Parts: sequence; structure tokens; C-alpha cells
Amino acid sequence: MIKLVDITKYYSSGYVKTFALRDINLEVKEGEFMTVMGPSGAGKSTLLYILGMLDTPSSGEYHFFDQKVHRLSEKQLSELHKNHIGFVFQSYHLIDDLTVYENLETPLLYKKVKGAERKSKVAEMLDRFQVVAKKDLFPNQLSGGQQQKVAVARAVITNPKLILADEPTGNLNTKEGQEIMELFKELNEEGTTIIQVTHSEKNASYGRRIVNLLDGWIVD
Amino acid sequence: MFKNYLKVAFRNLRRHKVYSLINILGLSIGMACFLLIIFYIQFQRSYDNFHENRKNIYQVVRVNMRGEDIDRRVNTGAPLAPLMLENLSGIDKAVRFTCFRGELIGHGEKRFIERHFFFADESVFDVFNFPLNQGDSDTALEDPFSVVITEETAQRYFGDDNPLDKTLTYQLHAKKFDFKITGVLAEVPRNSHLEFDFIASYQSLRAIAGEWFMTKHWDSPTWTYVLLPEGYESGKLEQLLPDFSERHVDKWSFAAVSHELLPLEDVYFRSPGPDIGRSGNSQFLFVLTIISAFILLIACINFMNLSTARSGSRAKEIGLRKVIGAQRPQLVRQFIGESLVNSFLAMILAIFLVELFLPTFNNFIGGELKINLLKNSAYLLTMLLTAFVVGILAGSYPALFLSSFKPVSVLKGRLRSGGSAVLIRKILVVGQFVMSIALIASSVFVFQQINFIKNRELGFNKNQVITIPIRDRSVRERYELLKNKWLQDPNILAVTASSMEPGVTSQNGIEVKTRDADDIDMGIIYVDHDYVRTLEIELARGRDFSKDISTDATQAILVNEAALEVFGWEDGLGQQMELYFKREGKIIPQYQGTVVGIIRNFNFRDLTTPMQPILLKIDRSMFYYTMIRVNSSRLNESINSLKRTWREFQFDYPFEFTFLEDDMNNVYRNTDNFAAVTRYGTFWAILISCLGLFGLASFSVEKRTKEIGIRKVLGASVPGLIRLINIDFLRLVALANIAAWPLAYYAVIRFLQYFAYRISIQIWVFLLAGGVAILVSLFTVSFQALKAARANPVDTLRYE
Ligand SMILES: Nc1ncnc2c1ncn2[C@@H]1O[C@H](COP(=O)(O)OP(=O)(O)O)[C@@H](O)[C@H]1O
Ligand SMILES: [Mg+2]
Repeated sequence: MIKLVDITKYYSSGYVKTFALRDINLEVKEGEFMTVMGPSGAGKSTLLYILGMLDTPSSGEYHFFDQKVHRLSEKQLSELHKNHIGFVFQSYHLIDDLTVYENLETPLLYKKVKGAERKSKVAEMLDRFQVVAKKDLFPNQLSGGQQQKVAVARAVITNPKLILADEPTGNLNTKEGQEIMELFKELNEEGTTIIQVTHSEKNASYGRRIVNLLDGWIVD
Repeated sequence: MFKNYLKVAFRNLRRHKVYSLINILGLSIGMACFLLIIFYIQFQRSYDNFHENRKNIYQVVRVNMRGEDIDRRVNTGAPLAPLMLENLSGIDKAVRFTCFRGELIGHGEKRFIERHFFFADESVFDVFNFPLNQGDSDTALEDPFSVVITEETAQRYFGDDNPLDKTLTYQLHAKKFDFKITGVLAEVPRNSHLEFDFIASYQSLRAIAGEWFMTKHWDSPTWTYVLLPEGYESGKLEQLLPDFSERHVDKWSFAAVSHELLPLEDVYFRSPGPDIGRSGNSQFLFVLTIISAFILLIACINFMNLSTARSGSRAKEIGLRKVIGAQRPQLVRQFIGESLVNSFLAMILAIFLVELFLPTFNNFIGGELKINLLKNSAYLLTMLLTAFVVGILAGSYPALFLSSFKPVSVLKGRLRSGGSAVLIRKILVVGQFVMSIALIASSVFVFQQINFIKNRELGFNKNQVITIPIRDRSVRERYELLKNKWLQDPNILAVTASSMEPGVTSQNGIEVKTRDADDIDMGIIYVDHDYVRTLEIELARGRDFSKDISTDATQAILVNEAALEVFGWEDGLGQQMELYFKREGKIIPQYQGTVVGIIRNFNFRDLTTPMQPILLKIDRSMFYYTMIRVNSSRLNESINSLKRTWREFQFDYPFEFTFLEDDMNNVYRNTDNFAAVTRYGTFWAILISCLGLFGLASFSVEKRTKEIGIRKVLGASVPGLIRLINIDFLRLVALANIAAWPLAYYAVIRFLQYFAYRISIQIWVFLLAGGVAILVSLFTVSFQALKAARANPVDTLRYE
């Protein structure tokens, strides 16, 4: 599904280049549940953003199914991104001015999903993630765990093939974190490919494969 | 999707109340000012546009030529129109209007002095659109001594009775004529340059003013309009006019006379005068257009600046929307949409503000503007268009700027407010202050100029002088008695009479023959004894008119110093001169006289005209105004005394008076209005700029909270911090000065061209304008800075 060849990413400020990723070669199969681990600053987030097509590598090749992602224009990238990828962040990152319902609805609006279908999809998600009662609340009226649930629901609502989660439980207590991980597991069992970043060995155990990053290198 | 945008827009408004208030309030004030001025301009531009034939109607302008001198005037005299119709092809219709401005009209006990009694040819209703509510416009002016009146006039004389077929008595001098009312005019639109209460059949004038007036008098208060056939080129007719004028029109003493055609749509702004009715100044309108555009622009800039300054707090939303599938055009649309929401909200508020401001604004412009916003489609369209354009304009930059954020950098928290955005914001702030400072400087100059004009040394004393018009021969004949009776009251210091009201009406003209030259064109004022004394004009040499010298009443002449130059005299005293008119090449002698005194120059015309040479000569038959100097501490008693005496004489005319000073100031009404609107606009422009600055400062302070906290921990003092925050803004305002001054200079030079006497442009006004801007921004920014500087650093730093 995903094949990275010699992916390098650096940031240059003045004459200094900061490498976030160096010569990354990685393959991910459809249906995998992969965990990326490593210390802070290792390049985990950068890798996830590149996989999510929100950022572009400095060099190297990125194949997504049969698409050469590194060759695509910004517009094509965002098209591909919007159709196949869901993203979950460490801090829950919901749109503050929209209610839970509207936050869930928005990706569907951008995908131009028709009204009736949209309604039933949102209802389905509210139900599945057990936030029906909260649907008219704004993000700041929810607990962290509830917000992250909504964020996962929003990532899932468009039926993405790939879910990228950057420390999704980082700001949650143990119980909340566990709930989220259970959700991921469920999704993975239904066939969604999941790549998560975490510091927790326990969370990593939900996945079947671990990739370790250190200073931009993959170390195994 | 759109609903989603709207929701976000409204929730944003609600969540950021101060920001939204500043943004929308600023925008709506800007819009309200803009609308008021634009409505005023629209109104001014709409003059005479209600005539169906407006494209084919022309006012006839008489052009007098003598060598290099070209003098244009629009009082053509009654003989012109019939001659044109007879001798020129290509004229459909011609209309004459004659108006003497001050006849006594009566019905039974009710008598009023009427300033808008017009005589007009029957064709007036074919050429112009002045519909009748009652009566038949085809026949209403057919018979001599028929008259149509406006509803308002009818109300005044007849109350609720039907005025049709009733009689009005017209009195000019001692003669009385009865007019039959044959029609009632629908209300004359306010945007008509022709302003009348009565229109009487032109043929009545033959009996009232005489045959000579109709066929030989080329200088009467008569205005001529022609209607050309549809599609006929006025240029073709104009080519024929020099030859026609040469053949048929009395040249007086001019070398040549011709006529020109002034399109009706230009009459209100460009007619050379004397004005038949209302007139405007397009130069002023041009300046007002600029002012209104400035105000709106300043408001738009506020909006843009506040939006981009706030981008930090929107960045997360933008990044997120991109992550969940938004593409740039959708985001651009969202932000433009939001801007449109704000703009239309501001417009709704602006409508209330317009209503709120209108009375004050009307005060400034002489109460011309009636706004029925919802009924007038032009106004409605202007408003919608304004809201739309402002929404797009103000929204486009933030939209493009905000939608360009890369989601990664936003979400990683690495978004630094880009250098270019800050630069653009600075440029916009500078632009705003350029406009504000230019406005301040210009309005100070305009104010100075108008004060200068009003308080200028005129060469005579206009204060405490009461003017009473002499409208009738019966008054004129008993003037001497009246004067003596008045003077019995010690509060009445001096009484005189003359042919013109100085600074208000115009002098007469005459030809002069001296020992050295003839056909010298001169202005002349016919005066009574005591003219020089009453107006406190300074005598340079020789003597004033004297009652003790009997020949003075017929032969004595006073000239001013400017006239000496024209005659080329060193001394002038004792010089003989012959005064005459020239009609159809023939000399018509008027007076012979001797110069007995030289007076200092004085401004007998308003100060848009320079000092001119003038002769003073006594002629009782030419008295149209009596001017009375009264005791300033006994004003009321004096006026009562004048009135009492007037009543004792039992003139047909009721007692009326004005103060010379008021009349003179009225001449500058247009200029005054203009100055007031300028000041008004300036005030709001500054206020809106400050509102924007206030908002910007608050964001800047917010962004620097941490920096301020650290500095404070390190020992920075509160004044030091305030200075730190101010310095950024002050630099911008200082920079704005440099650009604003030339702009203001240019604007003022253009404005001053309108006057013959001008203030000198002083540097301190620019400095003042700059100083005001700096001071005001200092206050605004310091208010925010103080709040931040006084905050406890422990609180602010803990946020991070
Ligand atoms: N926009 C950026 N500009 C400069 N350096 C960056 C930027 N984003 C990330 N980096 C650097 O790249 C490295 C990897 O960052 P990141 O992928 O965020 O690490 P991780 O998520 O593993 O903590 C870090 O050294 C970080 O400082
Ligand atoms: Mg990270």
C-alpha cells in the first residue's frame, strides 16, 4: 500500500540544515497496524505528515498504491489526502467554533456528500463512538477523552484507507487512552490501515509491528 | 457548506466580542459616512434629471467680448428668445424666465413679498416637466395675467380652499395687476435648479414692464432656454450663433457679442451666472468624493488589518480544515463569505447610523438631503453595492493570506506571522494615517480660509448694519422722509441707500469718457449721501458727498484708488467725466460729473472676486437697499424703532430686514457647507483609524505578552515597556506624515484656487496634523500597552 524509498526531510534555516528524516525506506501493507516509536525530536511527526501528504519530503520517493505521490501537484495531493487518509493528533484539534455534530459533518461537506447520506453517516458515528448526547456541545465543553473520541470519529467518517495518529493518547488518562486504543483496534480489524506514534509500550502492543526512529534514522 | 460558513462567521463574532465590535462598528461608521456623502453627491448630480427632454435642453449664455476680455452671463434679456426662434432653424422651442425677486403679492388681507415669482413663456410646460395637479398645462399660460402656483403657495394664500380661478394681486412699484390662477403645480422636485412658487404668463410682462423691456432691454433678469429637436447636434446651432448675434443682438459697448449653449445637465454646476435659481460647485463635490472614498478605505483597511492580525487564532482552524479535506478555493470562499457577513451586518448598522447622522449632516449642507432609504432604489442599490464591494475588498486580502497557511506548520505550532504579512499590515496602517493626516491638514486649511474670508479687512465695516430692501417706487419716493424720521432715534447712527448690497449683490456697469479716453468700462454704485460714513469706508483724499453743496446730488463723483489706476490719474481730484450707456452702437448719455473725493478700495463684491475699480454717484432713482448703522448695544430697540417708523408710513410692503453681515456670510454658504462636511468626514476618519489602531495594538500586545513578562522579570519599568510598544506604531505614523503632507498640500492648493484672497499655507498646520495623529495614536496604543505592562509577569508567563 505504502512504499517509501530513500525519503529525506530537512529544514534549513540560514546555513544550517536540520534533518528530521534520513534515508527512510519503509513499506506498509494494507490492513497493518504499525507503531512508530522514538524519543522526542526523532522525526516521528514529520514522517506521519509526509505519509499523510500534508508535508512533502526533501528527496526520495513515496508510492501510495499505484500513485507516485512525490510527483503530484499540491492540488492532487490534497485530493488524494482527502479521499484516503484520516488524521488524529495528540491535542485533539477540533474546530472550536463548530459543535460536535458539525465537526463530524465538515469532512463530508468537503467531500460533497449529499445531505441525507451525510446525516446518516454522522448519526452512525455519534452512535458508534457513544457521543450522541454531546452532539450539540462545543469542543471546550467536552473532556479530553471525549474530544479525542470525536477527533477519531471525524478521521474515520470518510472511510479512509489509512489512519495516521500522532500520539493520540498523549494527553489522556489511562482509561481514556485505553478506550481510544480499543477503537483503533476495532477499526483495524475492519480493515483500516493504522499507523500510530506513541511513547507507550502498552499502546504499541495493540499494533503488530514497531518501527523505531532515532535522530531521523530508522533503527531496528 | 454555506450554512456552515455562516455559522462559523456568527460564532466567531460572538466569541470575539471586542474584536467584532471594533471591526463592525468601524466598518459601519465608515459606511455611514461614505453613504451620507455619496447620497449627497448623488443628489447634487441628480439636478434637473427629471426632465424628459433633459438631453435636448440648453441654457443660452451671452458672451461679451472686448479684446482679451470675455465675459459670460446668462441673463440674456427678453428680446433674445423670439429673435432666435425667428432667425435660426433647428430650435424646437424657447422659454424665457423673468424674475424680479421681490414683488408684493396679495390676496385679500394676505400679502407676502415673493422672491420666486417667475414669468415664463407658455412653452415652459412643453420643454420642462413641471406637471400640474390642477388645470391644463396646454392652456394655463395662454392668456395674459394668468398664473400657476405651487401647492405650497396655494396653501399659504388660500389654506384648504381650492385656489383655481381665484385672483392674486401683483404689485410692482405703485402699479397693481390682477392675476387669475389657472393651475396648481405638483410639488417641484428639490433637485431642480429652477426654483419658483409662481409661473405667470410671459405676455403679462408687456403690460407690467413695457414694450421696451420686451424688445430692447438686453440686460434684464431674464434667462433663456431652448429645446433642440431629438438628436440635433447643438454644435450645428452654435456655429450659427456668432453671425446671428452680430446681426440681431445689441452689442452695448462690447467689441463683439455671441451666444453659447450650455446643456441643461451642466447648468446647476457650470452656469456662469447670475444664477436664476440654485447652483452648485462641482469642484467641492470632487473633493467630497475623495473624502468619502478615504473614509471607506480607512474602514476597509481596519478590517483587513484586524483580520490578518488575528490570523494566529484562526490558523488552527485553517490547518485543521485543510487536514480534513478543505482545499484552498473553499477556504478563500469561506473567508470572503465571512467578510461579506460582517460587511452586510455593518451595512445594517450603517443604515441606523445614517438615520442618526442625517440631521447633523443636513445642518452642514443646508438641509437638502431627504433620505428614504428603502423607497429610493438608487440609494438601496448603492447600499447593497457598497456592502458587497466592501465585503469582497476587505475580505480578499485576509482570505488569500489565511488560506495560504500550510497545515503542517500551523499544527506543529511553527507558524510565525510571516514577514510579508506584517509588512503589508504596516503599509496599510501607514496608508490609513496618510489619509487621516491629509484630511486633518486639509480641513484645518479649509477652516482657516473660510475664517480668513469672513474676517477679512473689507475696507468697510459690515457689523451692526441693517439692510432693508427698497422694493417699490412708493418707498423710494419717500425715502428721504423715512430716513429723517429714523434718524430722530439716537440709536440709529447713520442711514444711507444704494443700488447694491455690498458683498452680496452686484454693481451696475457704465461707460466713462474722460479727458484722456472714452468707452472705459466701469462699475458704478448709486448711493445716497452718507454712504461712505454709514459703511465706514475710508476717505483717502478730497471730500465725501455733502448735503450743503447742492450740486453734489447731481454732479459729484467718488472714485476708489483702483479706479485711479484705470484712468491713469495721479491725483484724480477735480477730474471731469461723462457717464453713458452704449446701446446698439448709440451713445445714451447719463450723467456728467466731477471727482470730488478718492476713497480707499473696499470689497463691494464677495471675496472670490478681487478688488475692483468703482465709482460712487448719487442717484435717488436707483436706490434698492437702505443700509442703517445702529447702536450695537441697543440692537432690539433700534430694530423696533425702524419697524415702528416703517409702519407709520403705511407702505404696501411689510417691514423686513436682514443684517448685512448675515447676508454676506450667506454668500459663502456653499463653501461653509463644504468645510463642515470636510470637518465631519475628518472627524470620523480619525475615529475609525483609532479604532483600528486600538484593535491592532491589542493584538500586538497580546502576542507580546510573554516578551513583556520576561522583560518585566528582567527589570523593565512600566514606562519603558509602554515606550517599547508605542515605538513601533509611532514609527508608522511618523512615516505617514511624510506621505500625507504633499497630498494635503496639493488638495489645498486646488481648493484655494477658488478664492481671490487666499491664506498662505503655513507649515505649522502640517505639523499640527501630524502631531494630532501621533498624539491620538499614542493615547490609543498606550491604553493597551499600559494594561499589558501592568500585568503581573507571573500570570502572563504561566500561560506558556
Ligand atoms: N518546520 C520546521 N522547521 C525546522 N525544524 C523542524 C520543523 N519541523 C520539525 N523540525 C525539526 O525536525 C526534527 C523532527 O521533528 P518532529 O518530527 O516533530 O519530531 P518528533 O515528532 O519525533 O518529536 C526536530 O529536530 C525538529 O526540531
Ligand atoms: Mg511529534
